[in-house]
Amino acid sequence: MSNLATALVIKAPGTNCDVENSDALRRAGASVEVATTGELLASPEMILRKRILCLPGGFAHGDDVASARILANQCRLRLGDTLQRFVDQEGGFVLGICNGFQALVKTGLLPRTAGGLRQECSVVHNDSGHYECRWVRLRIESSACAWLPQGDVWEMPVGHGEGKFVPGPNFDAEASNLVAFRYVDADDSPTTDYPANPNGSLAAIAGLTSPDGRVIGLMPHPDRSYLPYHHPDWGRRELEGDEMAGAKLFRALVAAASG
Amino acid sequence: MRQMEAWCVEVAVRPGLVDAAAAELSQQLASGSVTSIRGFLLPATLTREEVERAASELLADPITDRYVIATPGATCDDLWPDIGATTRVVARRRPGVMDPVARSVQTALADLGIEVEAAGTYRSFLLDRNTSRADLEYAGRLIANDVIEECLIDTLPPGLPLPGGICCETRVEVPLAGLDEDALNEISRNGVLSLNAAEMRCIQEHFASLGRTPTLTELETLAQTWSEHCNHKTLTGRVVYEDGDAEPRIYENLLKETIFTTTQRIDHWMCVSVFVDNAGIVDFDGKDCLAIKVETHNHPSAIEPFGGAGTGIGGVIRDILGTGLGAKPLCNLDVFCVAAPDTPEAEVPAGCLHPARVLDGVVRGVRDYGNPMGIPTVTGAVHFDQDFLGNPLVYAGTVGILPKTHVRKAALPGDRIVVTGGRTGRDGIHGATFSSVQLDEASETVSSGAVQIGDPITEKKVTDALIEARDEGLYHAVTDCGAGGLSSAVGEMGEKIGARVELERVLLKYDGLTPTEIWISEAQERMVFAVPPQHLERFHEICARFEVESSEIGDFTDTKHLELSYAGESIADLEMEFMHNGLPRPTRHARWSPPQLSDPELPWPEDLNKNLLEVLADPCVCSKEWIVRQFDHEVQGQSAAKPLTGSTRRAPGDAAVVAPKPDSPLGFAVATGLNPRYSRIDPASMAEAALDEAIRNVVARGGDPTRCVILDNYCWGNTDDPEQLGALVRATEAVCEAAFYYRTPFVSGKDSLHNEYHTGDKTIAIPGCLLVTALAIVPDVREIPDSAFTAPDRNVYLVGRTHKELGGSVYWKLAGKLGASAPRLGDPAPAIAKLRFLHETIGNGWVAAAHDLSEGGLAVAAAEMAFGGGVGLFLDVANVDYDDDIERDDEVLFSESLGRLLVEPHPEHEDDFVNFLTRLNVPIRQVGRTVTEPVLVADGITGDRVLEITNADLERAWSTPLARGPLAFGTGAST
Repeated sequence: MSNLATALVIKAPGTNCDVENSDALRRAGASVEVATTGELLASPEMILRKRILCLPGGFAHGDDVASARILANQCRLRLGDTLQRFVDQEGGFVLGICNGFQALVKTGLLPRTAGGLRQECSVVHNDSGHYECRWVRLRIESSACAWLPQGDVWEMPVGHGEGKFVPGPNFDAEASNLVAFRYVDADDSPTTDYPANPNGSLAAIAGLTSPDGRVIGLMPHPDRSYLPYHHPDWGRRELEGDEMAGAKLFRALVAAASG
Repeated sequence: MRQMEAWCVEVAVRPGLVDAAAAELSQQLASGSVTSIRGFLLPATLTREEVERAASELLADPITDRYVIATPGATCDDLWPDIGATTRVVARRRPGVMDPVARSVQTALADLGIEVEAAGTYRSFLLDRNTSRADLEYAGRLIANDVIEECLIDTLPPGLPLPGGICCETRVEVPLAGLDEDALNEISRNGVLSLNAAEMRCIQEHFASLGRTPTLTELETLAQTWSEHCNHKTLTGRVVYEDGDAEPRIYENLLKETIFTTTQRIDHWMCVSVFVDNAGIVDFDGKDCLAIKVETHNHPSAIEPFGGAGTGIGGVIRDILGTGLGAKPLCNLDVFCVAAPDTPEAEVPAGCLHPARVLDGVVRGVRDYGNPMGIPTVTGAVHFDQDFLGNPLVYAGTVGILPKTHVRKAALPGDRIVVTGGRTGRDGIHGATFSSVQLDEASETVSSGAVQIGDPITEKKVTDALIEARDEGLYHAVTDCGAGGLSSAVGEMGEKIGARVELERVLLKYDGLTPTEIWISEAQERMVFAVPPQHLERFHEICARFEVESSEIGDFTDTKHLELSYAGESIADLEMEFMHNGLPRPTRHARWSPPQLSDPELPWPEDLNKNLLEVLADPCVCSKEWIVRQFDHEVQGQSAAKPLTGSTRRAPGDAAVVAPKPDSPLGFAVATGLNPRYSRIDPASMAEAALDEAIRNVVARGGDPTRCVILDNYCWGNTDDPEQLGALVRATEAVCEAAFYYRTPFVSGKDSLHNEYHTGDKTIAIPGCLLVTALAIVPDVREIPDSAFTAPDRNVYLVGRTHKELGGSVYWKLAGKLGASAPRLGDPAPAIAKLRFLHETIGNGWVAAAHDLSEGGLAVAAAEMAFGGGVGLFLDVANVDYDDDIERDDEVLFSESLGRLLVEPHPEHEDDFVNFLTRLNVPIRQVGRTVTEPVLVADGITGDRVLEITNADLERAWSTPLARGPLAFGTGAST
């Protein structure tokens, strides 16, 4: 393969999934560099040399005030121009997982119906009132993100205390083609029932895409579902040979961003 | 207290959205109208425009929140007009208590171009105007813990409190010459030094021989170094032990002659560094090592469960970071011991928190520290017993990984002493000495300095910086600042060489600390490094990259003295030799006298279905899913066996398995064993059961018992009482003998003594608890058996023999009986052979599922495997291999005999499995068969049907009791 994607993984104080995201991206064929937010704020243009920007999970700045709020403010106020140039002019791809998804939503990079950087939706405390660590099922919706295998149902774990998606007044949560992932029940139907929908997300929304399909984010963790033994049914079912959901996502991302 | 005028910004969720904090309080108050407020305090020097901007862009979410702003000095009336006439309770942290959010607000405001000197937070609840004063005070007790927070009613916080002050004392001398024992004791007690008369006398004589007066700093340093917490002087002391009429046995050093000796005798090749560092270090794959440590944080958790448990897990993580040249944390475990969450309020002794609040708080504490650290909490347990009312126990453990080349460390003379991480404040003063004080009604007030709130993000940043600096080889030694603070850390690192510290160089959270306070503060999230001068620049650079503060506070020397100064004035000069080896060693007496107990004669049960459902619903047995799911057990992407398993993902897994290298199937299993109830019958039974259960748990999940190490963690009552110390010696002898036969070396251990609570003339001592943690190598994580049945129409085997051992069982507890026949290991040789051979069958890929039998015995294990796997089971009690003195079905079903596992082999390898184990004389019997219909059916000894319960009913009984957490019992406001 030629022209394989280069990825920059962002590590804010409190980011704690940078190692597994780097590993998953490398396995998918990307070359990976990790930058701290301090380094990035000092030289934002380092983003422009990459094809993929990855915002992993964790508790950036402790999720103090609200999840990813402080990181999102830094992205919006201090990196906003560079980020917009990266996605609008350079054709770069952005993946945000969990805390990274919260940051993209609060920065205004998702769903970004109107261009610019303005927060249109939010991600708030789970209805259960506490952190939830469990495996869920996700359906990949017919959305503006063409490089995802639409219609497939994936399994991966969630791990978050603030994962409830709340649409803003101008976002049509039921009909928008910017909804990339929905929580589904055992019959593959979108659900708002706990625990298949682990946080009470409205319209069962688990992840979003930008209109150009190059910025995506989701609450569940593909980075905890890319090796066969990650799956809870490992040993119960014959899973060897099956590609894990997380591996599929990273491979599709790297393929889309390469070339 | 100094105070600064402040704006209040109040944030609430918009109507129509879930206000979880309000819902929780309204449930406890049985009041419908509650609104929760997140409050922020900003200096009055800001303009309204700046406050408006801070509120709209930082403090409130533009989509889901709304906010109001109160000008400095405003009252709370009409602040929220649309909510109507309301009253409020407010909780805010006391000055100096860690508040990471306030600090983050301060830095985040800078991103908006707003610079502030300080910021604050508070929590508030708006309640109906008609709420009575008594109800408001009750609500205040529910939302605020007086130790760390103050509660205000119907008012706004008056301003932004500023901790600190001016330090006016530096060198303080404490004359000891000529004082008698009473006077010495008074000095010790008033200073919370926890030094006994002999120790005070020894210090008096030492300074008399030097011809000078000790300074307060020197006394405090000795108190820290000689504390039970740092020194383990009871268990490493001289003990005379009497057991019946036998000749008394004398131990010159109890731990050394029992636990250490056992490890030496086993001489296991996996042991790389044991009992010398902050954690035990064992070989993982020849290239990397695992470091493992389990700690307790009982006293702080009793008083402030959230902060106590959080700083407990934070402390044990730092132990791992400070092992060798630093290990990277891979997973955490935790074990809680508390009284029943439905304990009536009236039974809670004065000065104690209600156990429901304790459990709720410790769960939140572990969650809100472990999850942000990005370390999965993979296994644990909760035990309930009313004797934990005054002294709940919180065990926290961590496993880390480090290269084999990074195991050894030693500070060298000339190295700079560098402190990194959190700043030093007045928090946590006397934690080390307080942990040896028996709790009583006044503890809440005298000890508040010893209780802290953790700051996981600072520790996460320190972790990242440490690993990078380690890999660049930038330092010679590292250790954590734990109990005793800098005094212990620097004292330990410089023990063989000497150290000189200039205390005014330590970075402080606020002014006003005396040098002694700086020296013994146990402020969290600090690590101490020995950095050679040529690496200082790079070391500080890495710290800066991860936004970690670092400061040089002195040098390691070759003087063999500890020299402290403050602003040029000498305040301490102690010989390292006296600090570390001067402690007098008194003789303690220990006596084991067996309690007079007998087994009860219970009537034959009418309906065993009812009994099984009751046992499944017992809090010790029932599902802990409410806790497990709040802990991130997946982060780092290395989880190869989850805590809840089976096709329903609800069956309890025996052990967690972590595969730390993504390209290798090599993993390790970790599990714990503890059963305090057996302790009341025989501590030897308790100890053997803990060890056997921990090892069976790891074996059931594919762990190799020949590559298995263990940890011992004691929590005991008052060991000055010969009977209690005698019970401890008996437990120790038993666990050592068992460990020797199992060839599982102890690699680390810890003890927490004096777990007694005094109220009025009553003393509540905890039952003796020895927690055993086992860590075993899993050769191939692809062969891990499930802990629940995997398919219908499979034969099910019981490995191990069932004895009439119901003493201490859950079954008899529910009948109100203790009994005498607690489980014993018996002949250990076949016990270990059985586990080794069983492991071989697992390694061969012959086993689909395996589950250990523990509390609740065969009936509970069978039920968990059935409903967890979504298949039914037919169980033939007559086929169980049981002793001749057993005559009843309930004895077979509920006996808690050790050494037993239920196993479902893969059908295609069933013959291999049976033939292999039978040939090697392992007692196995086919006791049942899985069926499609999801029902547990059992035929008894005489062939009668004795059990018939659907999986749904079994699971409901098991999963309901704690499904909504401990506060759902509606208790918890006692203080």
